[in-house]
Amino acid sequence: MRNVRLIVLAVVVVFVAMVATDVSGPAAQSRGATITISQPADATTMDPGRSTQVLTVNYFANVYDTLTRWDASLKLQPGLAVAWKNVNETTWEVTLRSGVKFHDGSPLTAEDVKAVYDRNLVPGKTVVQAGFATIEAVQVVNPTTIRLVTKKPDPLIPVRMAQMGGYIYPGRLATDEGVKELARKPIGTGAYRFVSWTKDDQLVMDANREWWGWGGKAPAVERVSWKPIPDDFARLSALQRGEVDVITNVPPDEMKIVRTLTTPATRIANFLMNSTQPPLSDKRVRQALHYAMDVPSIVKNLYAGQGKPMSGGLADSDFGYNPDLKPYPYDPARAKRLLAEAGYAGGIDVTLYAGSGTMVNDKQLLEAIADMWSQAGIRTKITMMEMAQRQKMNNERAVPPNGLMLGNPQSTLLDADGSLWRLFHPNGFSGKYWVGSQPGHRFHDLMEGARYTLDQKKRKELYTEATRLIHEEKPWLELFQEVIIYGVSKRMSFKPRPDYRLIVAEMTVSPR
Amino acid sequence: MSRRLGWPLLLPAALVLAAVLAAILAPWISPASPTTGELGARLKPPVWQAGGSVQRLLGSDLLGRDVLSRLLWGARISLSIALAATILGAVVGSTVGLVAGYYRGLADGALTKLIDVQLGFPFVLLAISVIAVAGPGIGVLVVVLAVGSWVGHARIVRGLALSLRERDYVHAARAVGAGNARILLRHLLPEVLSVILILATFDVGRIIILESTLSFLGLGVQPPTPSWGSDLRDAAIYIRRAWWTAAFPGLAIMVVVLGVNLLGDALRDAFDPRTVASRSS
Repeated sequence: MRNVRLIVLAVVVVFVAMVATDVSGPAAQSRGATITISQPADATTMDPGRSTQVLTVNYFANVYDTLTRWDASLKLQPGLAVAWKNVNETTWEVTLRSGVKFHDGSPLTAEDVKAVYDRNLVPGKTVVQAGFATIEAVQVVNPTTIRLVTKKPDPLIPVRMAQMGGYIYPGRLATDEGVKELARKPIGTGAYRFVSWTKDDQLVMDANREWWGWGGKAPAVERVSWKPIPDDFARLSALQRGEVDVITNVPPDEMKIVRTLTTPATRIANFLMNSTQPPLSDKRVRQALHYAMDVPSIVKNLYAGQGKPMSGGLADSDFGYNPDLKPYPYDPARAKRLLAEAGYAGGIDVTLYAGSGTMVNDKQLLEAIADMWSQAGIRTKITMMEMAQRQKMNNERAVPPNGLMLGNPQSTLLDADGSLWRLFHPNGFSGKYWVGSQPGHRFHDLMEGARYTLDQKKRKELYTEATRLIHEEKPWLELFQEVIIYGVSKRMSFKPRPDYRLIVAEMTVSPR
Repeated sequence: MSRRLGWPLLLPAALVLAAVLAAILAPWISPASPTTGELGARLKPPVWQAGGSVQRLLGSDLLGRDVLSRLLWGARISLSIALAATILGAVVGSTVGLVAGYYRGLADGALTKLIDVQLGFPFVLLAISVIAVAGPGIGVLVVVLAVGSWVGHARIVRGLALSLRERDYVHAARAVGAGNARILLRHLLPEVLSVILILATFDVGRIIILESTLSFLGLGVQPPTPSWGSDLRDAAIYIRRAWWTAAFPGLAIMVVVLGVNLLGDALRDAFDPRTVASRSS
């Protein structure tokens, strides 16, 4: 009996000691606030070359800097680079910010940038290589100047410098051995430096007071703790109880029970469509699919109004977006007429595919569309798949003829080239499903032309025509632009970013 | 006999009969289509709660479909899948068990090993792998569920056949020149039939639950076909806002499984001479 009491006493003492140290931590700093952010999953790595998954990239965006960066309004701003210009059509000269130090105290030089970019250029070394594929070589001119040499004129270089995978870490870690260390203990130049990481429990970062971007102000957040909570409702409850300050992936139906911040995302919900065989090879049939579908009602009822019906292939945040293209209205009678004109008065058969978990309410979305289509004589089979199976179907371009597969793509460059031409390029995920993707067709020529056009006005014109083609041809099923929903505690405020990044340096905390 | 046909048999029989009738009559007694909904009228509560209406006695689901209609049509799908899988499992399992137990030898050894291997393999994992390869569908589902149930039959029937083949009347039959096929079909099968029937009854209950598990995991019945398991899965995230979407399919599964299991108990008591003996002593 005595032993039991002793053990209980020991446990209590240890517990009190733990609580006491926990309290003394923030008190000792007594400057900025400590906040907790909760996403549905933990980071998979701290090596920015090994993941483009949105939840993981949120960690990178705080520890590392890119040469250029997007601000909260998605305007391109200087990052570690302060200036960039074309020396000739295929050479960009980039001037680096001077006096920048990594979290370990070593200075940032052109050699570091070259080492990181060189690793990104090697196919297979990283998962971000495709985004750097237009770059031929990286040259060091002097410690604060590099040159990026491209294979052909690439107008998107300033944007490519801000993309995922462009995060800069010390060059000495850009080796096969070094990145293993980096993956566990990241070293960057960013606003927050890595403190500790207990996998699937929490990752802690502290403010980097040396960061070049504070602009003379003290950081509002001194310490960030990232605590993943997979279950939607557990995450919501943690926010309600005040245990966390920011949560991501709030189900739209539950928006009313917590304080939320929302913004239209750069991501769109659509279905890739294999239109290589009749009936979907007929443009009128593809248009009928759209007329027979009440997207505003789906957004209003299934997504609590959080979404913007769209047409033309691009989110309104992408370069090339064409505001003149209005989504087709819901008109089942017109859909029936179009089907009849195309010779399918008796209706058609299609199959909708989706991976479970692609987006909130994905299965219900498919069922709602199938139900609406049935009013217009479109008979729909639904196949829900495991995510791995969907990934396989997508990677192998194996969506069967007259099949449609749910996706929610995002432009990796905030530009038509990073979405429309990433997907519809003959090598892209949709490239084999639509004849318009192939060389010799107007759409192909427009997109390929715009890729290597330096004049922005000319590119805009090319994209205006290309998006109109998408609007008329409907080579995929277009639904709506998604909305990002964060749940936040009362004391937090920040401008939610359409690109899904959570940048702690942009957040402010009001004193309790 | 009259005591054995009393309420322990009648109550579960009534529950099961009600479910079977619902399944058969679904097209005529459903108040609405199970797959057509009205998005504007989603998550409406049952008639007795504020905001409910007589048009939707048990409320509407997350796509505005009538919960009662989906329940009735779901009975069709869930029960017919369970029945088909049970029969397939029972026929395959009993045949294999009977043959192995009767002939002994190599076939028997192989069978015992196969049973051991399958029992050591988690069923849900097996189901996920098969469905991932073959693609989801009702036919695949029936086969997968039968794969999960044949082992029980094979084991028990094999054991029975092992002891039955040494009985005097089997030796006698063989002595007068009966062939193996005749002995198997005329002398062994009738003896094990009641056991198979009882086993199968318990299997129905188990398989209904397995089917809902697989549908719950998204591997079973494909939408928009209503099934109790997949409806339960869809409702899970809405349980705080709309309890009726999850409660009624869950209740239906519970009632039918309870009914079938009680029926199995009662049948066993009725058929098994040993329980009768122990009861009368």
